[in-house]
Amino acid sequence: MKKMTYRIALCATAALVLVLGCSKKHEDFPDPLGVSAPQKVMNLSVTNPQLFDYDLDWDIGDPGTVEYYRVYWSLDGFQFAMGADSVLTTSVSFAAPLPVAAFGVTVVSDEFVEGAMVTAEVP
Amino acid sequence: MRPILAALAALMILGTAAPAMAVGDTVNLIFNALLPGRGQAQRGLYTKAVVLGGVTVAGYVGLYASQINYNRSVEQYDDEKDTWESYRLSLSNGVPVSAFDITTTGTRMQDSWNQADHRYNVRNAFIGVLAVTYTLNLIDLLLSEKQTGELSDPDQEPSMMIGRTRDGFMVYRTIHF
Repeated sequence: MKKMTYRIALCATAALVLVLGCSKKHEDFPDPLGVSAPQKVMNLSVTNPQLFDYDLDWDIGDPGTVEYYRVYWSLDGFQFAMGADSVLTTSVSFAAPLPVAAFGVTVVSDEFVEGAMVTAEVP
Repeated sequence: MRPILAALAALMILGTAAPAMAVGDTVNLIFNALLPGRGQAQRGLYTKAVVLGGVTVAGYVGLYASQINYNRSVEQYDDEKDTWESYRLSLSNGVPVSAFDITTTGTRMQDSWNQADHRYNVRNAFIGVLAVTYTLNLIDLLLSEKQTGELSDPDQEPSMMIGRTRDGFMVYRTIHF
């Protein structure tokens, strides 16, 4: 019984040594990325001149900080998928294979940070 | 800190191996120093032995548990930090990163850092408890008188004696009138 107790103590101690020996330390907190959230587009409007064809138009406060825009589309109004990347203008025509419920536009800033999406439902 | 912990654990291992070794007075003292409460129990001071032994066991259990918790926090922090650094690399390569992802990862990384910092302090507190317990145990062992069976007053007769007979022992009790 005494030997068993010492064996258990030995195993527990070995486990403790293992845990302590293999431990890493929390260190080197990284520097900030030094970027800021980009602005949002304003006055996003969607028109539907023909079946499955959509015209999108929006405004931007300071175009100087915009690298490009991204356009997203959604069939149900909730799940969005990217429809067009690297859009350089503030209006775009979009031909979808299915009827689209809503569009979304985001700004990718000149620091390559993508901002919050602004959405508009298809009328 | 790690070498101290390793040394402490190594001393514990040596302590657990005590019964297998030849035990002299000095060696016995060393093992008693390594296992708080052992020496006190040998001298019959069971309350002190239970307190010292209990605090030591609780200290080791707490140290073990807090170290595991700390390791988990560090792993979580490292994951968030890796994600953060991958964002930095993406941005420098012109690959867009969502502002929402940057904010979320930054918050998680800060939280896991704070948690790791807190758990690190808890773990160190357990190390401190063990260090104090071992120190108190050592002081108690060094200051305690060795139990030799000698009387403090040589003129006083012992109230009870054990004598050896040809085929056993005999207990004598002296009664004074």
